[in-house]
Amino acid sequence: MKYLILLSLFIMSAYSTEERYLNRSPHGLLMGDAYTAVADGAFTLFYNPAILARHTGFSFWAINPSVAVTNVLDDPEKYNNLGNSPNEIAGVLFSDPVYVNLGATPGFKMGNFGLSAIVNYNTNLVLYNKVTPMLDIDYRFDKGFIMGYGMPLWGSFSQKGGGGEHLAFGLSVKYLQRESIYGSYNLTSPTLYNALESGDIDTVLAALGQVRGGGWGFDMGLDYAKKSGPNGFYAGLSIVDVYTNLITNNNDQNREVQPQNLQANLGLAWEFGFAESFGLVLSADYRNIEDTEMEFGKKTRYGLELKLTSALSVMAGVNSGLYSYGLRTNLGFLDIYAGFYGADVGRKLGQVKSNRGIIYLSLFDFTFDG
Amino acid sequence: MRNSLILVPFLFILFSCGKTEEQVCVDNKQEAKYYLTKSQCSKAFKVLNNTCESDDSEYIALVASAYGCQANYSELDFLDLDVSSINSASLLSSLASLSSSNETQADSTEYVALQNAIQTILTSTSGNPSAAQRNTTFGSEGGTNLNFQALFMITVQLGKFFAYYGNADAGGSKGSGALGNTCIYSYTYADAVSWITTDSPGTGSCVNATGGEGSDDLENPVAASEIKTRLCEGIILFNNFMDILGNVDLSDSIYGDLSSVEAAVNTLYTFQIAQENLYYSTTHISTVRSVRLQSDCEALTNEQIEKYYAIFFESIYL
Repeated sequence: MKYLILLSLFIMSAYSTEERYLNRSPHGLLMGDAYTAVADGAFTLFYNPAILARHTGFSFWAINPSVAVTNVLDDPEKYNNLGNSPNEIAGVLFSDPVYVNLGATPGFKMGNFGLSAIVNYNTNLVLYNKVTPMLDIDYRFDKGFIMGYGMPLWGSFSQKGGGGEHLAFGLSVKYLQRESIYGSYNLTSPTLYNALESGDIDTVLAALGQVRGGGWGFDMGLDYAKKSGPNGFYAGLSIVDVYTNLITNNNDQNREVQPQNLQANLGLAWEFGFAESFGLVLSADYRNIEDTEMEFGKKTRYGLELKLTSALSVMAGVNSGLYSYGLRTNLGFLDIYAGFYGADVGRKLGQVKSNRGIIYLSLFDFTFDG
Repeated sequence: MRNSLILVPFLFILFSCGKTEEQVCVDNKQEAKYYLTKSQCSKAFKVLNNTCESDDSEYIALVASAYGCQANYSELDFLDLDVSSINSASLLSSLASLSSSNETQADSTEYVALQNAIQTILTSTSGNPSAAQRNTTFGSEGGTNLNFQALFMITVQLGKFFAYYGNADAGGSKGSGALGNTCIYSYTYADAVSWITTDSPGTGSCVNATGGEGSDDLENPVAASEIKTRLCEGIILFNNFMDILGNVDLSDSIYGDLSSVEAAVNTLYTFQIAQENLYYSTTHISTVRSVRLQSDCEALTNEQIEKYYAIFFESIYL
């Protein structure tokens, strides 16, 4: 009992903040990121480690890079007419996020155990404040690994082995090294442009206050899965970054690397399908349960996947009210996901929207059924 | 039993999570930035209301921005349209000619809002405000950001102040506007009157001191305390302007001739102080130029303030 009390005291000190995901599945993003109950591919450990309990056999993802950038095709006219003066240019760019993400998550699953490497470069730039323009920079380059185990609490379920029913608990541990620049820079103060004029990219990053840090963290989750014939029902509750403590290396300006704050997410999914060749997946997520101030609409995600053949699927979704859509095609040695998605990156629903395009390639991934 | 033990942490976490004050501060600053981007000033004020610590330079900058929003002030407008018009050789006239120097009444809503923005930054540290103290209190980057934000706001506000109370025309020439006054103030103390009428080598349109040459908004029936407050606003704006100019790097071309202003004005100070020493037994310019807090200025005597305006401002604003 005393351990439970100690645990509760420890957990009481945990808190939440704005969404900062360690990694996102391109498949999930194209389904509106309603993926907490679905994430059974290479990205399981970033959504809900308990889903590892569905896995049997050995799966391997060797080379799986992804690229996501601001979708300039969404409004090309806007960028064709930036204007001539700083005022006109800023007018176009105000509240219009610039986003770049490069990542890869090579890893494997063996039975109910999984391990993924983390290599993720992420940059968000947003210009705010018409009175005194401020450029918010959120740059992160994460390297590390995450590993976890899913343990059935009762029942038995196998994704490939004809289904069943279980309730599973999962736990994952991660180690992260982070390089980051995180701050708000006055556009007309010398800090920003002196940095930009300071030379090579390393010098620029240092001048902007790049810091490094690292540390350990863990996630946990529950997964309920029931599949009988073509019908499958899944429910997941995950708490990611239950405690992730990134310690910043000493630096002159006393800056801190971005924290990974706790997020509690609930997901539901219904699947109807015949093997891998034809099927339908409907999913929904309710995110950031821990944040009592976040609006309901900002917490919700809805997703749809229509599997037309074993080689082709279409996906669509609604992520905090913003649409996503895309395609998956499997060429045997190469699995490709491509599409567009929206992300609501403001504090309140609908304030700041980021429209993005994404492409993901997975080369030579394979699964041996157990 | 095992299952129950596993479920307990979930329940604890889900029901125990709350935001720290620091997190609320970060969230509210983010939301305020959005409102300031959309020119929704009152919403920005609402989310910023006492949500962060007083040593948070970004929070202070955002509160100042919210006042700036009320004043329809834009730093980019200033840098895009006006900074190139600033001329260190005729500083106050050039400031009075800026596109934003368009006040038609004393203490207009926009003027008061911009004054509040400036005061938010100036009073963010205790004691006599200074750029150096802001650097010490908020660190180099935070202090520099606040110093530049204040510098641009003060520059615009000085233009509004001298254009209105100096009755400038569109070109910034004192006493040539439609308000009628030829001096900023109607001088009454002997040394100030003597400077304007006899001793000065040049005070532009301000050549008489019979009691009615100054701005109507700086004389009876306006309350004496109100007049002093307004006169001190001009002094505080100018003194902080000079203090910041001496403590920031203005070498980039986007700041125009602002980089030359400090040296030019210091030369004028040297000359005017020498003139004051030459003609008068009591001297005040050196004292008044070091006052950067509104309440400290209002504690000065009327004579000190009047002589500063007559001997310094009227002489450098032609």
